[in-house]
Amino acid sequence: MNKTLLIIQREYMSKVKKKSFLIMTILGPIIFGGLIVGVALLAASDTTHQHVLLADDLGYLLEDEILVYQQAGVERPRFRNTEKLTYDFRKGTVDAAAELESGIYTAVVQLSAISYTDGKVEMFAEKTPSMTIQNRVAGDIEDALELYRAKQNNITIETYKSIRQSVDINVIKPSAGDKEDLTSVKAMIGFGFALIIYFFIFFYGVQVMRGVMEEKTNRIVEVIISSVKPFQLMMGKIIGIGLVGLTQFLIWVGLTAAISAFGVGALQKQLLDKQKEQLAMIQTGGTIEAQNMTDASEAGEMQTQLLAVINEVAWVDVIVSFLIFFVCGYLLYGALFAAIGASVDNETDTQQFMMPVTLPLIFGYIVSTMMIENPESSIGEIFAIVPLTSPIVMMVKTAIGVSIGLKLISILVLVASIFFFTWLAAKIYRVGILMYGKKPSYKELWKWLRY
Amino acid sequence: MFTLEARHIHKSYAKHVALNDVSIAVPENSVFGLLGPNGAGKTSLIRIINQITGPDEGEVLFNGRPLQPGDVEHIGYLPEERGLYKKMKVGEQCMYLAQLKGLSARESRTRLKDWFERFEITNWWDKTVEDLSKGMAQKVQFITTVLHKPKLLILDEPFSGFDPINAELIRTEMLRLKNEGATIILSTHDMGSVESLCDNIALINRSRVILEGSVKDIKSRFRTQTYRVDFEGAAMDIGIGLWTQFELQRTATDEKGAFAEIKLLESRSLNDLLQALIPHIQIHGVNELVPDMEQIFIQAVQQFNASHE
Repeated sequence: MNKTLLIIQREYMSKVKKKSFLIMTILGPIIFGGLIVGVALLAASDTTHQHVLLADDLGYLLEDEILVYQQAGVERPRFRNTEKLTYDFRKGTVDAAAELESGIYTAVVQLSAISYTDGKVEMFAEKTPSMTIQNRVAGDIEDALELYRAKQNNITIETYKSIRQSVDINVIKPSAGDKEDLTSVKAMIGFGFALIIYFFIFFYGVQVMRGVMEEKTNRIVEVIISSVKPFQLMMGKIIGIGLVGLTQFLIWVGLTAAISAFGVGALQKQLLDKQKEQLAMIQTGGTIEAQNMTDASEAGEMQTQLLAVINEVAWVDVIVSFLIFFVCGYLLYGALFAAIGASVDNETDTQQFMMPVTLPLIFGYIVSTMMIENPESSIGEIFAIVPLTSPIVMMVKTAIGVSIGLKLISILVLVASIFFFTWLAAKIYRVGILMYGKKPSYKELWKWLRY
Repeated sequence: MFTLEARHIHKSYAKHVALNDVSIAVPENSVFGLLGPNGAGKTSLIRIINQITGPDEGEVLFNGRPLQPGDVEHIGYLPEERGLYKKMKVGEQCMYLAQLKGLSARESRTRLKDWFERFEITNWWDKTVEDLSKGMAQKVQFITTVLHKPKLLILDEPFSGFDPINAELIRTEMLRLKNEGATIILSTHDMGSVESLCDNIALINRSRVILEGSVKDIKSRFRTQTYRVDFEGAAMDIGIGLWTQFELQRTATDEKGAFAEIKLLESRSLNDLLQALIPHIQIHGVNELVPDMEQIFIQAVQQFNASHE
C-alpha cells in the first residue's frame, strides 16, 4: 500500500473516530437546522392578539374621512383589524393604567395635541408588543397624521399621493439583454459560499497546524520520517484532514437540508391550511382581510424576486467553482499552517506566525463584504486573482458572473501558488520538525529555506 | 563486507559544520558503537544514514551500493528523541508503523503477536499509549523498530528510560537480532554497554572521527605499559630496586594491601620489572592497568580538544 495513502488513512480514521467529530457532525446540522426551523416556527406561532385602545385628545384622527380608510376595499387601509391586532378608538385622554387594568386592552396609545406636530406618541402596555405590531401601529398613525395634515392644508389625497411618490431604482444592464439587475442579491449568495470556504480554511487549517505540532512534540516524527519522506507525511496530513472536513461538510449539508426540508415542509403545510381557510371564508361571504391579502401579495412578490435571483445565478458554475476554490484554498493554506506547526514547539509560539497567514484570509473576507456593497469594483477583480484571497473573493465574483478568462487566470495562479507554497512549506517543515527548544524567528525560517 | 559505509561525509547548517570529512565502515553482522560528546555530530550522521537529511558531500553505501530511498525498509531506527501517538491504541499504532516500513497488514499482525507474546504484553494491544508508563512505551517503541527485521538497526540511547531488568531484556534482544544476522549501530554514552556489546567503534568529536577501530585494537592502542604491583615490604625498597628504565608513578595502600603503579620505559618488559623488584620486595600479584572505554573516551576527546584550541 502506498505510504502516503497509509498516512492519509490514519489521519482520516483517527479524526473521524473521535467523539468530538461525531458530536460536531451530528449536532452541527441539528443546531443549524433547528435554528432555521425554530425561527420560522416562532414567527408563525406568535398568536398573541393585541387589542389596542387608541385615544386621541383632539379627536381629529377619529373623523370619518380618515377613519373611512378602515373600511375594506381601500388601496392602503389603515387601522385594519386583523387576527393579531384590533383597534378601538376614543376621543379625549384616558387613564391608561385603569384601561389596562380592566383587562380589555393589551395596549393603550395616547395621542396628544403635540403628537400632531412632533409625531411623538405614547404607548402603554404591561407586555411590550412585538416590533411588528409596534411598527404597524406607528405606520397606521403616521399615515393618518399625514392625511390629516394634507387636509389641513387643503390638499386632496390624490394630490398628496402624487407628491409623495417614493423612488425605486432598477439597475438595467444593456449587455445582459436589458434585464433587471440583481447583482447585489447575487453577491450575497456568493458571499454565503465565500463564508463557508473562509471558515473551512480557518478551522481545518488550524487542525493541520495542531496535528503537525502534536507529532513534533510527541517526538514520533523522527520515527516516521525514517520510514517516509517528510513531504509525504506533510501532504498525508493535509489531505487526510481535508477529507475529514469534506466528510463533515457533506454530512452537514445533507442533514441540514433534511432537517430544514422537514421543518419547512411542515410550515408550508400550515400556511397552506390557513390559505384554504381564508378562501373558504371569502366564499361564504366573509369580509376579505385586506391586510392579509397585501401581506400575502408582498410575500409573493419577494418570492418571485427570490426565484428570479435563483434562476439568474449560474448554479452549475457556482457549485463547480465552489468545489475548486474550496479544495485549492484549503490546500494552499493547509501547507502554510503545516509549516507553522512544524516551526514551533507550543501553541503560544504560533501567534507570531499565524498573523501573516490569517491576514490575507481576513482581508479576502473584508473585500468580499465590500463587494456586496459595490459588486463590480476593480478591487474585487484584483483580489479575485491574488492567490491568498482568491478562494474567498472569487466565490462572490462567480455568483455575480465573471468572465471565464478571469476565472481561468485565477485558478491557474491559485494552482501555481499551491505548488509554490507547498514547496516552500515543505522546506520549512523538513527542517522545523526536527528543531526543538528554541523559538524560531523569521530570520531563522529564512535560513531553513536555504538548507 | 560492510553493511554500511559512509565516505567523506560533509554536512553543514548555515554557518555550523555538523560533519567534517566523516568516514565510518560498519562490518556486516557486528555491533558498531557510535560514540562522542553531545553535539559532536552523531545525530547528524544517523539522520543522513536514515535519509532524513542528505549530506552536502560524500556518499553512503548500503550493502556495497549507494543508499537508495527504498533502503529505509531494511533499516530500523530508534531515535534518541522518540515517542508515539498518545491517543492511538498500541496495536493500531504498531500496525501503522509496521506498514509504513513496507510490511503487509497481515504480516504485521502475525509478527506483532509474536513480539507481544515474547515481551508478555499481549494485553496492551487495545490500550492507548497514554495509559502506558514510560518504560512500557519504550518496549512498544523497540518492537516497532525491529519488527520489519531490518538488516541494519540503528539504536540511539536504547537503554534510556529502562529499569535494569528491561535494559537487560533489550540487551538480550539486541544480541539475538545480531545472531539472526542483523548489523547494529549503537549510539550511547553508556560506556559499560559499549564495552560489553560493541565489536567496533567510531568516536566523533567536533564533527570529525577522532578514533576508529575494533574495541580490542583501541584498547591495546591506549595501553600505557603501566602495571599495578601488589607487594609486601617497605615502599622505600621499591625505589631502590628500580632503575631509570622504570617510572614509579605512585605507591599506596588499599583494602588489598600495599601496591605500586609502575610504568615501563623504553623497551623494558614486564619480566625486566619483576627481575628488578624480586630481590627487594615480596610480590603478591601483578596486573596491567588497562584503560576502560570511558577513560579512552575522555582521553581522546581531551587530547583532540587540546590540540585544536
